[in-house]
Amino acid sequence: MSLELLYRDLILEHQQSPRHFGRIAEADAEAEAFNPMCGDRVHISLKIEPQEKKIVGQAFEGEGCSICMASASMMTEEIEGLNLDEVESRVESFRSLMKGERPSGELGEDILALQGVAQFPVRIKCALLAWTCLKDAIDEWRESKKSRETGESTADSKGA
Amino acid sequence: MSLQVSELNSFSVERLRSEFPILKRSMGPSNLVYLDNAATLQRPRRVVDREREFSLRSNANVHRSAHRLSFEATELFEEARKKLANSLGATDSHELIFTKGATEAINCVAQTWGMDQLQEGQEVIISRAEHHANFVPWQQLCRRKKLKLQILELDAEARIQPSALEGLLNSNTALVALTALSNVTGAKTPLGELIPIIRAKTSAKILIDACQALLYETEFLKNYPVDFLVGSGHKMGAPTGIGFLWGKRELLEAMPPYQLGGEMISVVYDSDSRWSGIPYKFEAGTPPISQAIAWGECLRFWEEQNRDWLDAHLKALTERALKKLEEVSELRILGPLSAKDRHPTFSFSVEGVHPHDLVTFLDSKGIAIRGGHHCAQPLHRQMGFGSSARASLTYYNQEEEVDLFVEALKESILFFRRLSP
Ligand SMILES: Cc1ncc(COP(=O)(O)O)c(C=O)c1O
Repeated sequence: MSLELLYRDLILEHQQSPRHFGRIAEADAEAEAFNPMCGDRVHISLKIEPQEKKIVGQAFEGEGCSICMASASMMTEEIEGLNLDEVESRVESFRSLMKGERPSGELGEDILALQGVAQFPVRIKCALLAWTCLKDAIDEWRESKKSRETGESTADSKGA
Repeated sequence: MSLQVSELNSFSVERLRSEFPILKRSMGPSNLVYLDNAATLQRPRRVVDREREFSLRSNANVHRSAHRLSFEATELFEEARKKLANSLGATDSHELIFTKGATEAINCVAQTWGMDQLQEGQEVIISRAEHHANFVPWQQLCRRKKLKLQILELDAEARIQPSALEGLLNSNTALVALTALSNVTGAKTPLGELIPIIRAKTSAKILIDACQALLYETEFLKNYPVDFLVGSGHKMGAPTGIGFLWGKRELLEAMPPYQLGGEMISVVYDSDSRWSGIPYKFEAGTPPISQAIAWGECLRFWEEQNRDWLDAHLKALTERALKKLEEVSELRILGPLSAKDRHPTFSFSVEGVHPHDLVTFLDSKGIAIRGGHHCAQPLHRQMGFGSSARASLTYYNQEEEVDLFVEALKESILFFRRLSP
């Protein structure tokens, strides 16, 4: 397996100039994930428009290898302006790409540069870290939204 | 005299390597260059053969049955215990407990001696360089028992300075738990200086994690009179799944058992039980029998090598690696910069290239190094390293391998920085 296929220029380019790098000050959802094997860490923060459940802001921050950082950077571009259902379907598509399968749904062109990772089983975790973290952030947002709503409705019924 | 010289000449790295079949394995474009010896050492053919022979010919449970096979297995198992005790410089083989590994040995001391004997307000000293195995058990014990955890900081080259330890010792110090040789920095702990200081100033017990040092230091306990010593077989060419705890008899006898079950009891009544004597009190369940016997063979294997030759070869490897690594200006070493303070375990970072990427690059050339924090996160954090890459060498490595490694390192820097302005 050639290294050029794994470390495409686009990957190194994203590593050197990561997109959406940082933290959103008043994020609606955030999560952090670690890979204890290599010490990689990724933090994701999101702004979510609650009516349409749309991503209106996204950022990542952390430290890790080029695969991990490039994957996170590309991901933030990939999910720009999507609603949460679409985001989750992209997460699934990316997972299937990493298994060496044909993506289960839509995926942007840049992301395909990570295709080579599937041939390096030890590195798949690095590429997946940001995506797992994104899924955690969304799950948590959905959970807390649900409990906020049920909390509100019980508060309402109490008030009435 | 001339006989000695010719004897020395008959030892060579080629001859030593021929005992380790894995070193001939092809890894794609080239043969394996194995530089991850601090994680686990490769095994001599003899060790594997011995374990196989035992399994196929003498396998039986130990200390259980009166049939001949069980008797034979028990004899071989106990012989291995004596062999290991002997090589550690211990006079009483009953002070030697077989465990799953060094990790279990340290946990055993923390859970039994630590839980039982230590009192609120007492202090435990560990160094910044400890492996998580000798860090987390003490950290958690201190939290549970309201003890004070004192972390002995290192100097700029990640060495332990005796004066720094001296500053931490006081009448509350109950335990000093230190590595003999760091699995990250390669620094040799100056135990010869530290032990007299600890003994003079406190009545603290001393536990030494000798995982990385045992292969290189014979009769450890004769040189370093400590209270507890732990190690793992696989770090010196024995199988995985076995390690040891050595402790002073009076300490072990006063400690409650670690795990409960078969083998460790003398009599079980309905409502209470009595324990066996040491070491069996601490060996609940069926022990790693074939692994112990293979370990005994491993010790014999190393004894038959010429120590002078081995030591001279290791020194040459260390010096060559240091010199070569110095040529790489982008590189920062986490550890001593002079050969005399260190073992050839080199952790480093390369500016602009993540350790994990280095590992993949070198792996594509058949060179096995490790990237990450090597089970020492507090050390990396304190020394300002997010993570590091580590090349760890041992007796069977060659100077040519050092050169190959450093060349590949230089190539990888060009590869990963090809787009850099
Ligand atoms: C210094 C040191 N201590 C403790 C350990 C733990 O050994 P084991 O994993 O065999 O229990 C290791 C090896 O990983 C080590 O290098």
